[in-house]
Amino acid sequence: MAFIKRRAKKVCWFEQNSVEPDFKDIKILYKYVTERGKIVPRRLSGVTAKNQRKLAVAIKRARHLGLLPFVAENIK
Amino acid sequence: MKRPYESMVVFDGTLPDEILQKEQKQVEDLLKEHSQFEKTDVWGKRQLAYTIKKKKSGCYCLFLFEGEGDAVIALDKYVKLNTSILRHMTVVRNLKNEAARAIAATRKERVVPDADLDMDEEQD
Repeated sequence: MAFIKRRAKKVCWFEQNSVEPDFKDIKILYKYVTERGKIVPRRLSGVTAKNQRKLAVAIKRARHLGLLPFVAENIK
Repeated sequence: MKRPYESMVVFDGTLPDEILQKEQKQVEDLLKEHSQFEKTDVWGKRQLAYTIKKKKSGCYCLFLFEGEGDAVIALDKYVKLNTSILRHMTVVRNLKNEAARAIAATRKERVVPDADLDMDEEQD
């Protein structure tokens, strides 16, 4: 029988700190964006569905203001 | 209906500081005229994540105010005519979250989320 290694379930950082995602928290938003500038899916980041929706809006707001990139250019 | 708003305005970063201060004051005066102006949070000059109007840097200012929708309309109109503003955005403030953030900031060690996310799919 193949042994399937299960990873420990990730805990949502926003739930832990009882804070909602905000477009001004750029340092935190950067953690939920890939090198390319894409939004990380919640199956990888462990963010709750409720917070993921708010996070997506926050990232899009930050992008509009030029705080986050739409597409990362420095990748070859 | 009166609502608390926050408005982020990105001024052209290539302008000298004196003009930037003047521009900032003009926005403040406009908001004072139309709403209950609270305060300005100046972030200062930052590099933009991408070029906007051929500019690579911007001066970020966050204006906090409370008022009716006409204050927002007045600000929008002003920004449209002002060429030294690159971007702006007005949002209703989430006061509950702001309070929570203030409490979180007082904690000594603010845990920052894990930087290296596992990008490979979980195998179950």
